[in-house]
Amino acid sequence: MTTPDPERAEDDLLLPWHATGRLDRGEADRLDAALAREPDLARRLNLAKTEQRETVALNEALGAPSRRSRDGLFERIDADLAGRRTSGGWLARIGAMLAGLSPPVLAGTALAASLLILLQGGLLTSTWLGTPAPSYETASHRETEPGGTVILVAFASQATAERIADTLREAKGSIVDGPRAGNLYRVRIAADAGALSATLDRLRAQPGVVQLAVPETAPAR
Amino acid sequence: MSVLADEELIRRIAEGDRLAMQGLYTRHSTAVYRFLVRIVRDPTRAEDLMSDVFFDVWRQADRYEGRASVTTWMLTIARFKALSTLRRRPHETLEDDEVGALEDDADTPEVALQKADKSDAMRRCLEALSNEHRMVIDLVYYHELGVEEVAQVLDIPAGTVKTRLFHARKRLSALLSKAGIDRGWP
Repeated sequence: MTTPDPERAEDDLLLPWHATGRLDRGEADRLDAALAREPDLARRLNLAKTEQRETVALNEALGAPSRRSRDGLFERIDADLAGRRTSGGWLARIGAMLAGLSPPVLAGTALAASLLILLQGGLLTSTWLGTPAPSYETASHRETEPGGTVILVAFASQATAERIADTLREAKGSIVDGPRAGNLYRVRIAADAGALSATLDRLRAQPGVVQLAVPETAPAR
Repeated sequence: MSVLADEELIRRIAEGDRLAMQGLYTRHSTAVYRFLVRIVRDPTRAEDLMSDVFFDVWRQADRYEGRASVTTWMLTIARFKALSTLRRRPHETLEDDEVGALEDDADTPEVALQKADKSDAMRRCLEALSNEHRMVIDLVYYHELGVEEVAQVLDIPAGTVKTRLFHARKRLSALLSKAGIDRGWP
């Protein structure tokens, strides 16, 4: 009984890459030496070359993508670019302004901004969400939240209904109320309090669709 | 005018350079499209998938880390999308045994031999391979990827790439033999 020579077996496995010139120098040299020694290995290399020739011919016969698909792709890209510009413009301006401030002034500004945000949060709750109770209310409309968390979302003006629907689907969310003042919608998402931050980040990462996504600070009525 | 390397185009695309995207599309769209057609066997669906691949490249160019060549990266995305589509419509995948049976019903080896010359027979047999075998054959012979690159696209070890191609070539020989062509190998 003869034991197969592993190097010869490896030579056979590598023939296709020899045919395409994609072996490293060491492997190619070793295989060239083996090809010079073994006429049958050279015959098998020719089989691989034939396979390559026919595979190339088969692929080339498949044609090329149409102009229509190219145009469709670049329309999507243009829409994406427009979305980036809209959201990136004011962010870039704020970024440039902050970059020009000295560290002490920056720290003071950050503190003031934090206080302002807290204040606005309270005002938002009382002004926009704390509207007077309706004179009547159906039993089915009671504002208990059946699981999930309610957030406030403002959609970008150029966002299409399709992209809004996709975004809501990805966030496992649905609009429960709105638009309210400031074009804010109340959106119930499946995330619990622990996953809320991640979901908000995902929403904010869609600049062409979502302009603002914040937690609802108090139960709305 | 110097030709920009793929990696440089990707860097520019990550900065939102539409012109760089056009360059990348011109350079690679046909290869990606053909790779997809060979998997999903539907030119219209392949075009849609190709468009999705390039849109992913546009959106995710900043995540390209240069560990694989740009071609390998795009073909990896393309394969993932194509297989996801096929998984959603499993009844549309034809594996080689089914194709072989269909062809056997239509043509006896003698008739097939009369109808086509050796080259045609080879191409029909290449078409009749399973998706797994077609992919490895195409990646090596048409896309001219090295062993490690094929391993990255198919997400399998390099050793498996070599044996998978070997088995694909053996299967090709068997199909050719059915069509009356003896290659004297294996």
